[in-house]
Amino acid sequence: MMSYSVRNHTAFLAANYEPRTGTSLFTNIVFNDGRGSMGNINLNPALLTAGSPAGFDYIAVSELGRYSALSIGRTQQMYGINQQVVPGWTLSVVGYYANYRDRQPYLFDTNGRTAGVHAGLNYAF
Amino acid sequence: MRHALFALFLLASPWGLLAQESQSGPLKQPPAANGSGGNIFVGTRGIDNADYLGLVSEYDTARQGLVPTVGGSFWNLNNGNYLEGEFQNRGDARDQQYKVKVDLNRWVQVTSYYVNFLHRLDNDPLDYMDAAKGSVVLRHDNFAPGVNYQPGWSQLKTEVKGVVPGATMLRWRASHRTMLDHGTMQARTLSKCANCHVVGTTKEVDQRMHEISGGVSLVTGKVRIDYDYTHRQFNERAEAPLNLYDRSVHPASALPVFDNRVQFDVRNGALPFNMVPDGRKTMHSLKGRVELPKDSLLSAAYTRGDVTNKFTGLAARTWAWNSSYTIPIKKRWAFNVRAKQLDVDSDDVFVDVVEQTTAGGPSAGRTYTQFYPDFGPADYIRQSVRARNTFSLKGELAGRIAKRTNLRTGYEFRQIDRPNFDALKTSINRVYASFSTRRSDTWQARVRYQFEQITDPFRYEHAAFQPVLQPFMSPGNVPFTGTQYFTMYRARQATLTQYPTLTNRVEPSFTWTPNARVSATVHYRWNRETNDQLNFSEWNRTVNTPGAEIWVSPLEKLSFTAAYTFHNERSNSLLVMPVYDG
Repeated sequence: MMSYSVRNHTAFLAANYEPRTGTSLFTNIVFNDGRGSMGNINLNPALLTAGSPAGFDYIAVSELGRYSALSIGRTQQMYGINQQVVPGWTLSVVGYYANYRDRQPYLFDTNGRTAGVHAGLNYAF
Repeated sequence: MRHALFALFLLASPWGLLAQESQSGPLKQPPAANGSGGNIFVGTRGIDNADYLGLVSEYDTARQGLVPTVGGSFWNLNNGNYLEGEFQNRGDARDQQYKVKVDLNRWVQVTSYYVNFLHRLDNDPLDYMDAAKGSVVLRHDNFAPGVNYQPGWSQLKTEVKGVVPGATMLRWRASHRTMLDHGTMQARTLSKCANCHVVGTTKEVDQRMHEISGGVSLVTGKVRIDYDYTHRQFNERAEAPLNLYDRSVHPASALPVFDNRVQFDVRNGALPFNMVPDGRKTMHSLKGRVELPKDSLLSAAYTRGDVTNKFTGLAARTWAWNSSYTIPIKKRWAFNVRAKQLDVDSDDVFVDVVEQTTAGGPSAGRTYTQFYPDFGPADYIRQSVRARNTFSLKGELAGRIAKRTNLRTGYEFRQIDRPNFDALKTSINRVYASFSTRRSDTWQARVRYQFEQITDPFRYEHAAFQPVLQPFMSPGNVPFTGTQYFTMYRARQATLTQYPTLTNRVEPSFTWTPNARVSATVHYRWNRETNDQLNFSEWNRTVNTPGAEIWVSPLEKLSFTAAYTFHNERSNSLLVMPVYDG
């Protein structure tokens, strides 16, 4: 017998604040942590009626679950401000950060990070 | 990134105005007063990236450095005629979207939408395949290392709908949708047997999907009938990649002794692989509903679909119908009965296996079936596992059992007949009950329970666990004289599945709202699935998913929202590790 387990944590936080007319602040933050692996592989060569094949290590194969382990961490964060400059004109600045971490790379390294600032002027008519 | 831009875009969007409705026309529509408005956004994005972007930014251009960003919207309402437009371009041809909406006094509405974005795809280096045993080596080649595969995807969709002048009970609609997928991606294939050789190369992608649809509706006071027809064409204009497949040689002697175990090799020249066939799909849909006396409601729908692979000529057909009847019982209860039928039929395929002879070795001059007559005929007819007939019948009773307290309970029977698979007939009995109450203005509670009993669920018979077949070397220490793969596969005894025969699910939730500035919800989902009808093992899965959300607004213009969910899943199954050599 074997087991497969999955554990996934997801947390989300958002805040909005308007300290005065024409000014607003906001943020959105998401965290995700996911893990999965096989386990409880307990091969017992003593149960083999024909004996263990030469060169085949059943005890070592019981550790197979370690090679299947997946462990991913991910976050996306956004922080922004909208400031009315004059009536109809609003300046917007948003900072963004995203990070992907693979703690148990399987095929190749997929770790990555992107961050940036979006800024612009909006005119409403 | 998309979320960020979307947030910026919403700042000056006229969607709030669009949410308004008027009651004076045949079709529901936005603004009530004449006027116009809009916005223009001009800005820039400064982005810094590190490492691999394929997962952290799978669908975003995220171009390094500074790029311009423009966006805007416009709307105008003049005596019932409405025009609305939106656009957004983030400094890259693969990162833009446009939308136009026209409403001619609610007699005709036109909506057109275009979106374009890229999709980052993996380029598997294949260099982690280090398996080897003596001269038997798993070889690998990536012929395009380091190439970034980023095909662009775009969709243009236009919908037109309206009302027939002089006959407002007649409504019509039509739409056209085009999807393009253009660029390159990695394609992989492998040569077998003896030394496995996995290769990866660049594949051109130039896929186009065109879909047109049209429909009419008859809407009267108590009767509504809808008919729709959809026709879809899919074409891949790019050529499939080619590969020279290795010859099956003995891993030590390099002699061609396994030719009769494969259907093609290097002698056939470069062969196409990873080909995407052109296809066609058509669908007819007829729906109807009628309000009957005593506030009862009867509805029915019929759908017919045909899918054709234009390369092979093979087709699959789908027929689906459902009917529902709802009748009130006294003032506070209602009973609904619903029946569904889904039939899927797919063409059989005659697989004509190319039976080669071997140049050398013990089986020289003979095909595999000639050398191993116990194998039987190599050719076979592939019958589709998609073919099935599904029928379900469901009855549900819902109503109020006390003040601000409701109960919904029901029973459903479903049966699946599969003419071409191990589990020929699966029967499912499901009962459920949902209880909700809001006895106080500050809290509400809900709990739902569901039980399922399944007979003969989808499974794979003879999937694993063969007995000891040959605990000694083959005579002559060669692979030709001992147990062959087909003997080993046919000896498998254990049936495996990941579908249950019993399920239990409980989902409670509780919401507390002490005042207008605080609201909190906690919820839990417990799901237990078991299958103890397998011949060598039991399969089971348990899922626990607790979660909570809270919204707090300590000041009039300050609010916080937080949420947390934990998903904990564990399944147990039989594990069999066949041990063989040769």
